[in-house]
Amino acid sequence: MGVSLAGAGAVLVGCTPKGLDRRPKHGATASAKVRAGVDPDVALAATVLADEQALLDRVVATVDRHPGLGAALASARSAHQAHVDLLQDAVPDDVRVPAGGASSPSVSPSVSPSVSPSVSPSVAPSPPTIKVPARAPVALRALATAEDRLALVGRRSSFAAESGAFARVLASMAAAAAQQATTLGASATVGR
Amino acid sequence: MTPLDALQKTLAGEHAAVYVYRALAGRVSASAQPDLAGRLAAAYTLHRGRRDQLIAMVRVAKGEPVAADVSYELPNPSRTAGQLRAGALVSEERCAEVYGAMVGSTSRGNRQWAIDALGDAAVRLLGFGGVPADFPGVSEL
Repeated sequence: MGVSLAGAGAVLVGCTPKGLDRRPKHGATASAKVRAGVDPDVALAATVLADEQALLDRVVATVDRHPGLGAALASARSAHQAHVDLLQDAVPDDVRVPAGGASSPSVSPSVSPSVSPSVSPSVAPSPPTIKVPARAPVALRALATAEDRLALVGRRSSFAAESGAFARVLASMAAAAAQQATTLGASATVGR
Repeated sequence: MTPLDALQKTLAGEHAAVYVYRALAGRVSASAQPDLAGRLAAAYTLHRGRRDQLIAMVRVAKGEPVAADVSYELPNPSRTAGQLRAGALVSEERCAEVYGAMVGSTSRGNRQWAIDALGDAAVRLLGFGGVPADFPGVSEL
């Protein structure tokens, strides 16, 4: 209750003092807020955090399986780790959703009121569920596809954000994923 | 920054980008550097189109579109292929920054435009020797 991006997510708000342009609350948004008891942007941040963590886990799993790709994936690892770090500051533990459990590509990410505090804050993201292709170029291509998808979902999240400052950060994260998709896709082609 | 201010600032940035890309595209040797020449020409066409879109968007927002300056300073002497590439990279990075600011100060259709432009700029600058960043277009992060 009363959760806000203003406290933990000071960086999100503080980064653009002039950029705050909260859109007027619509009926649906306001009622969603009442239902879930969570600021819509915090709920959005929780969804994006789960997606970013899932991709980071995937990058790590890929490096574990293919140590030779460590250099090629260093930049992706750094980017998603930075995104996760920033979002973790903005999302209280009791709003977290498990990594990989979110990623609904809908424009208005549905805030699940059933997210309970009992959800353990993703300690071990169960690596066995991440299937890494046996051939390195195929693994790279799979990652590129995942980055592409994250970029798409990220652009939608940015569009849906109420806070302008948060929308800017989300658009930047989506752009970072698009860069990774391009770079990894090129590496996969070269390495074939 | 009001949404109209954001549109005007982006338009001002687009005027600069159009000028710079036109200059760079005019200096590259298409025979010696076909890949770079193609990228510069594509960027010039794209930013010119964006400039025209922004002029229309400012008018829809009941504003008087800001005019282009007479000339702009190129980021470097822009003689060698390396300098042309670096100049294009600087231009695209500046655009990404402006698009990011526009995302933060607009909503709905105009925000979507800025989100897409930021994503495109982030990928386009890779073609001019740029490297992936943690937060493209948001230099303070």
